[in-house]
Amino acid sequence: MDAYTEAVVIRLGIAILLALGYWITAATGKFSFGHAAFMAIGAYTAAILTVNFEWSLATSMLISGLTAAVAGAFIGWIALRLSILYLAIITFAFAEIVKILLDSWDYVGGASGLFGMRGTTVELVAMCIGVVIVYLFFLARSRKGLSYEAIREDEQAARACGLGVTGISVEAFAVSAAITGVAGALSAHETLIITPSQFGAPQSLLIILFVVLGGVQYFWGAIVGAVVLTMLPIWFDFLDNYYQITYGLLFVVLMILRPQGIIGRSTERRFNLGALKKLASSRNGAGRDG
Amino acid sequence: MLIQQLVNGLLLGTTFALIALSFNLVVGALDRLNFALGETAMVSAICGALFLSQLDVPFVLAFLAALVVGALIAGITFLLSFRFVSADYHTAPILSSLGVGLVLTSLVTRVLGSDQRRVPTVLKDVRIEVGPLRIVGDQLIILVVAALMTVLLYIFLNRTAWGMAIRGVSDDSDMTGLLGVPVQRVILLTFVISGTLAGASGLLTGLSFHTVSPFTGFETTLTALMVIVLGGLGNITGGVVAALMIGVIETLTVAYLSATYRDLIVFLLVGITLVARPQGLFTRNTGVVGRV
Repeated sequence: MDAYTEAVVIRLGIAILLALGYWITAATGKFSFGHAAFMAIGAYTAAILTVNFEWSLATSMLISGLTAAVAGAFIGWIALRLSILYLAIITFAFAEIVKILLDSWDYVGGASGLFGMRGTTVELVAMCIGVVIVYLFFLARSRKGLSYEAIREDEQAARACGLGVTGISVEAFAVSAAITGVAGALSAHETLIITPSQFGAPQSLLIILFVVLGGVQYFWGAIVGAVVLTMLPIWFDFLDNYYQITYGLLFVVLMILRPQGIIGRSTERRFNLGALKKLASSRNGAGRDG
Repeated sequence: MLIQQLVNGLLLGTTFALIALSFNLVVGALDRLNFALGETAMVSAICGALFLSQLDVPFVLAFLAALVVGALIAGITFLLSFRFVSADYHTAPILSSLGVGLVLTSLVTRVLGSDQRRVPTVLKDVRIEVGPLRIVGDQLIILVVAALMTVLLYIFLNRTAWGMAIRGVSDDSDMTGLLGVPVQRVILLTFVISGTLAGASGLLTGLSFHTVSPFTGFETTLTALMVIVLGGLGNITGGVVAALMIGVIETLTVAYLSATYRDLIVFLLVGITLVARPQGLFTRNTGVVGRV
């Protein structure tokens, strides 16, 4: 494998890992809008350990996953007791706080960043993805996976069935943060330099788009989303200058036509055009859902 | 010195109040957030600034243009991100309006360039001095216009039929619909008004700093979110009070501590509020928290 292919494969692998990590929280219907913050936490933790303390990358990755999980559990504990709007606001703000703190922390180089990390290999990335996929494979077939689905489809019904909705959601959020943290650690040791601005809102939105494009119903939908969105700018060079517009339009069009994502079954039609026509003709269509 | 800073903070707060009102109106109408409003404010401000500096029109005209641009964008956002999106997907409007915001920011940077735009001083010779306190003409404009718009909104919401319809839809849209109110048109109207307020806040913020940058959209959204969480989601009066509070706190932090702590202190305050009083500082019932 030449260096270029290797770089592309590693980037792709990290994108898949990010998408899978995000899928776990999206599977409970809880969308975070600041997952790049967990990536940053993982990346900086691992980078400090490998550069300043000369730990091995594998151990540092474990620690960075743990740190991100603790942060995720904390944020989840604050936000998941409240509604989805509060979750959106809190995760937004959290990502911003992490960025500000890293910007003003001289030990990790402040705004100019931290450098000197290396060591991410294709094997390491593949191993992480393998572990996560095995976990998700068994999760999808377990009671916990079912409870995730129940919470996503109807939270009130799930609560009425005796599920501890908040606890399960917080746990899913923490696991999701952990995987995102590990992905962040891997990406830090691939790009060689990390700055706080890499982990801003655009990165968070990109992670969301991976999962939303693929659909939250099956975890491999997230993989499809990640592959498509990572390869698109590589295959179509000209997209590079317009990628923000492309992503923005993708969000808008997708939400109108296929809010369930590319992959995923729905009781509605293949494309939501019927609903569009119905909405346009009726005066009091989808005002809100009670 | 302290009094001067307090007044500056209140002035900053009035622009926050406008954008917070704009977010709160949408939360009231649909129990959803329009995340593109920050970018709407930015685009309006850039348009207003272009009118002022390139065409040299009077400030009133540029201000009206900013309002119209804001209203238009908010109307389009409503159609794209809320009207045509299935209501079964709770996160869909959030994601879609974020997408609209992304498109707006990159369109502006593509079409008009990514450099900052200057907003020229409007009232050069006016200046009020009361003891140590000094207020320049532009600050006066901001204060008067923001206060005027807030009062007009209150009158509109409380004294007119359409205003009552907006409050009705915000209270119970099904019931209001059954009583013969065209719910979707009322929601569109709410979005247009919220866009107008966002446009006003954008240009007034630009006037207070004398520059407008195309990258401030996200920041504006974030500030507005902090304000409405502190005041209580959907609580219009609480939003105004919280906006003034945050304006004062930010100004005092910059003046007496350091600019880097500005956002951090606000975030910390909001975080404590969320843990201790999730319904916001000025909301009595928790009905909204349960609903949205």
